[in-house]
Amino acid sequence: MIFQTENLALRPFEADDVGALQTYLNHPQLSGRRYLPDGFSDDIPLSRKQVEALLDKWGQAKDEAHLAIILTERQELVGHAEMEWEWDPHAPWISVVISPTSQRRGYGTEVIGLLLKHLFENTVAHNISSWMADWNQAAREFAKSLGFQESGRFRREGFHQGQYYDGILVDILRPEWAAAQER
Amino acid sequence: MALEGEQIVLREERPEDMARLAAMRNDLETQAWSKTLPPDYTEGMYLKRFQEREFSYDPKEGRFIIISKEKGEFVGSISYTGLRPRWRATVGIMIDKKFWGTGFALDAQEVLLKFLFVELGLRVVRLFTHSGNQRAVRLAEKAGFQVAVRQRQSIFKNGQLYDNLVMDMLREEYFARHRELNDNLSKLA
Repeated sequence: MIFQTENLALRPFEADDVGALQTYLNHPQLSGRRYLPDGFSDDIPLSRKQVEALLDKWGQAKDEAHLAIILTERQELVGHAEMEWEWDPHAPWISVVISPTSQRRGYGTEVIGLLLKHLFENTVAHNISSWMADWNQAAREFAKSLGFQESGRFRREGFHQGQYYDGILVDILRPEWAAAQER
Repeated sequence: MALEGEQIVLREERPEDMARLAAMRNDLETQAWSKTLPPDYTEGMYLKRFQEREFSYDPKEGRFIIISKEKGEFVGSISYTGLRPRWRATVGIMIDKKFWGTGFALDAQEVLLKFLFVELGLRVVRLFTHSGNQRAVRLAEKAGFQVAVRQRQSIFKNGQLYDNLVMDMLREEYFARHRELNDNLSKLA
């Protein structure tokens, strides 16, 4: 398995990614949808030290992968991809965050496609899921276009701009993915 | 406020409970997840977990033993985990089969929910179960939980694929069912 697409490569984070990661995590358009682990704010600006602590946490996590998404042509960090199978490798969870300055170029599609291929071709995954805030229509449309189905809402997942929001759970089954590959 | 219902009380874990907790965990019917197999948990493992709990004024979980009021018997355990203060927690319950059908579980669930909404001021309470565990679904529905998420075929148990179910209850849904209680917590939205 090569963690590479037409335009992108996935590789582990290294210490000198801190600055670029800090820059896009603190981008106002990512406020409220950084989806970071407990203890890391979803909207308050993060210091360099906090981003270093985040990378440490990601690096030490067991049964999880947190990979840097690199635009091959310019060797530029444009986002990060996550996979987690701690509860059960039968039903892993994935997530992709693209820097607001690099969105709408199809990078998310390329990376999700790669993660699904990896998990379905190299692991026992049967159901792969992800989630996004209900107000994040772009992400919901994006997930549907990749073959995910909306399978419920975690009500009152968070509070954003004066409103409660729900988390939308999306999932895709191995046979659904396999059928889509044949088309 | 004692954590007391009509038929049961909730109290903290004690060393003498550990063998019973292991026995429930080792019963393929009382433990809901194949993930927690094999059924070889020991009293010693539970005692170690018990002894390693540290004093804290900021606990993220609470674990209780359910005791019948009439006879003082060990009925099961009930807990909340993943506390996000003033926001949410996830609850879990396990009842010794001897006490299935007694109403003790429902009573214990109400006592814990009252604690979470009235004392801890949570906005939402969640629980996880699966579509093969209809007993748990019915118990939760009786307290006012509803199925919020149905993650398809993601649980394997008893040789079958089941949907992972997330059930939840909002603060105002709880208070609407409990007219005897007033909700004095500020509304966010």
